[in-house]
Amino acid sequence: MVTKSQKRPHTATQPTEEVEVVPLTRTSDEPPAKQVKWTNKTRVLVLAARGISFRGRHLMDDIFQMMPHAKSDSKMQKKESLFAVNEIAEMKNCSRCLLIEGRRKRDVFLWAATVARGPSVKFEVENIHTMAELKMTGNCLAASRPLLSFSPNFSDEMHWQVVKELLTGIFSVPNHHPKSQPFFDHVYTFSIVDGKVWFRNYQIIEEDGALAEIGPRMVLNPIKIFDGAFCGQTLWENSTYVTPCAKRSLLKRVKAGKYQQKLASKAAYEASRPTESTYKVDETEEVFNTIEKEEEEWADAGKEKKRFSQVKKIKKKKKHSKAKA
Amino acid sequence: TWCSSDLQAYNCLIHFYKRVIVMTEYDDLLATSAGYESDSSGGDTDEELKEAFAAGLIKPGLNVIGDAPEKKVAKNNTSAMKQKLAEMQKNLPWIERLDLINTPAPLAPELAFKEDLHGKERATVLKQAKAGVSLEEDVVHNDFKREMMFYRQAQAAVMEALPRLHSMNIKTKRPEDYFAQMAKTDEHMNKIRTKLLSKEQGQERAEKVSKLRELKKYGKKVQIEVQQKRLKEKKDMMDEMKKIRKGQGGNMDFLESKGKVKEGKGDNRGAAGKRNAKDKKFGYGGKKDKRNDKKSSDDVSGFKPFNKGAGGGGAKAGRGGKKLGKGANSRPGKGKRDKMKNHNKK
Repeated sequence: MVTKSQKRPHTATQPTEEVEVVPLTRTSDEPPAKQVKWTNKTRVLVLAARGISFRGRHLMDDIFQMMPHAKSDSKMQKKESLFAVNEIAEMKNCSRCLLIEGRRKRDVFLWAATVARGPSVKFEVENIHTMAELKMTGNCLAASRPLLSFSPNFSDEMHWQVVKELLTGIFSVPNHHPKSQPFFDHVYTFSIVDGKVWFRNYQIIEEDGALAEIGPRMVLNPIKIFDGAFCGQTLWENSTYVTPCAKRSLLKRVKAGKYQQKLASKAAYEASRPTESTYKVDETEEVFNTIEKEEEEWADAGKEKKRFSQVKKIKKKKKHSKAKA
Repeated sequence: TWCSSDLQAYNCLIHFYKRVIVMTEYDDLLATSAGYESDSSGGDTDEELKEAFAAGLIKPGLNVIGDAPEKKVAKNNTSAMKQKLAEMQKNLPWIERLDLINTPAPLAPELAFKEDLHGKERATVLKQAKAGVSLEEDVVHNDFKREMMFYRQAQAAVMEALPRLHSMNIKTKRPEDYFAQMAKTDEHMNKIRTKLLSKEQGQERAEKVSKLRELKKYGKKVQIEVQQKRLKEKKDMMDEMKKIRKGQGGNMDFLESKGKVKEGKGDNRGAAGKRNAKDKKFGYGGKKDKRNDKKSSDDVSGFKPFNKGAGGGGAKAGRGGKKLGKGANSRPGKGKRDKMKNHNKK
């Protein structure tokens, strides 16, 4: 953690025309100057609930690290209902909350809420890639203010507008926040593809548009929007949402279905096979054929006998010749 | 007259059919009690069903009369959401929020090139795998395109936001000497750098190897060509020389230096040079060509004419060639010698 004394002053954001007259001596007991410029006092509580796996935890750490206006707390117990998070937020004087929940050590859910009486959204988080992956080659200042970019379909429907407002309120760092760093060197993109919000974080390498991905990466699948924070009426439901358990069971069923399918198709084939000949057979035609057939058979047998006898003769000849020689 | 067993069977049959009748009556009872009418509005008769189907009221498949399962309607309380939105918006100035709405920036040529390259690679891979998936459906290529879209969206945001910040007199570019805590540690960045380097090196190595392979192939081709050319030249020279020896006259052009007069054996220094000189002077000097060519085998000028039997037919001239050629010491043939021989051995 960078302490206040180690940080450089925000010379970049202050206009250079004003020259502050600093007094020659100053006592150390004086309280620090009040931050007049910092007006937007939103704080975000970043929290995890039990049952989270390493991936969810790393994601939470990455998000927390990038937000200087965030406060963390210990893991929430399962016994307490979600509503208890409101109390924790009140205690920490936070107006927004990001709760990361895990289920079965596999699925990760994200709650984004405005604590007092605002709406809350529950997302399912998929395709998590943390900042530590070696393919994410970008880097940025830890506490610089991000630019937020939303794709145009956020203004299409009401629920997307609510989601946009919430995400903006949570992820934007207040201006002149004491822990924030100057300069703008990274940008968050939120895009809606297939009804899900895709989150990417890019570093601005050149001012003309060269970017490198920093991470983390995630896909937020909205499930429901509630009227209150972690409680209240459902304002919006996602009709196309399938729970991860349902997805897994469907996959398993498809795999199991293979064997059943094979058996069924086999049975169907057996059932549909014609037991009698498909061409027209007149049984009276065979009445006169019996003797000829037998003769033919005998003739065939005779031919075979002849062949055999010939073969025997040849073999005998060979034997004799070999014996002689 | 019937015997008892037949009677029994007959009775059973009657009972069976009766039961069937009873069952059908029972079904009718059930049907009527449930409220199903024989002429419902959908139509029981065939014509009515056909009309309904044509009109689109009934779909193909098993149609069951009754209550359809309740369709789950997803909640979408737009008005309440609007209200909530109005409450949430605090009317902060843009500088506090820094949010933008962008469409993706236009595709730069480098990005277009990269996308093309990726597309070609995936096409070859799919062909080899024979997966039967076209490039449009290929998941990897679609992923790549999607990432390109997000990248372009971020670019558009940057293009819009930075000038706006500059207009507010806010510095956006971090100077080179500004050291501060970064999101990723220096060790991590070093790891990334080494990984990238190793990737590059691997690629370079692969390129080198493939180039060498190409060169080998090319070199081999060139070698074969040169060898064949030399053989051809030698053959031509020998033919000319033969012609001259047989007296037909030929080109002596090869004696003139063609510019590239190659020595037989390259090395001319030391012991090898001495050997070379001796070979040229004494060895292999004009290899005797003891093989017939066409003209020499057709040549019969060396043979004497055969006159036995005052020319017993011109045909004999060829056949008698053997005896004619021998002269005084001609040996009689096998038949004659056999006759002369005494077969009285036993």
